[in-house]
Amino acid sequence: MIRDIIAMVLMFGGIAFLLIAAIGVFRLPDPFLRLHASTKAGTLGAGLLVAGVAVAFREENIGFTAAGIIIFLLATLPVAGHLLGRATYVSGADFVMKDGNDALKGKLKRAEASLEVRLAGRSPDPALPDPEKAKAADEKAKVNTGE
Amino acid sequence: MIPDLLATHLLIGLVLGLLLTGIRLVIGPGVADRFVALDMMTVLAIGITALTTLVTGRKEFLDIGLGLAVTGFIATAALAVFLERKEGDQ
Repeated sequence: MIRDIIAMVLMFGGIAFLLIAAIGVFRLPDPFLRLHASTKAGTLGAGLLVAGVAVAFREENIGFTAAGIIIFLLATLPVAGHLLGRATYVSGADFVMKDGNDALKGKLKRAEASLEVRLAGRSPDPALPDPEKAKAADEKAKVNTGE
Repeated sequence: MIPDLLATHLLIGLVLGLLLTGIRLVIGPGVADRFVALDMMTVLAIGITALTTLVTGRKEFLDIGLGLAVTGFIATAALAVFLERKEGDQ
């Protein structure tokens, strides 16, 4: 009985944190704030949920797998969040600065515009021909063969 | 026994979170937003495998969660490297 109560508290806590993290990813205004929601609340929520399931599941040896998942999540999710945040800053994504003071300015190289803006005006793969040029060449060839 | 019965209903909450994150993955204005949403979806999927362990009573589903954790970390690291190195300008 006490075991069920502990499991339910852990599972409810995990679901609540995961749901809050998902709402944060959906509603916050820029990539860094979304990363802040998903990394911290997501790690805690998933860890609590897996711990709750391990307590509720009455079988031997499940604790090893559950502990493996929790330790792995605690070790890798912050690292992944750091990698993604650094890459987001370097790639030049737009973000909301409340006091207009970019603390990383001059410490990391940052592109002038965000990736999708830089990618907008050109063909997706440089090896492929520009679609408009290819169309013009096609029409030229048609005229040449027609006459 | 109560947590086993409850797990099915708790799955609804996780699917709701998956829906919100999926909307962000589709509409996210930038590439970085989509990568963050994908990272969050992996974590939610680990939660779903954990609850599926309780619903079905088979402990193999927790191993799937461990595999998802490994795959999700490698995917996020690879996407971060892509985002950092990609040069869009000519």
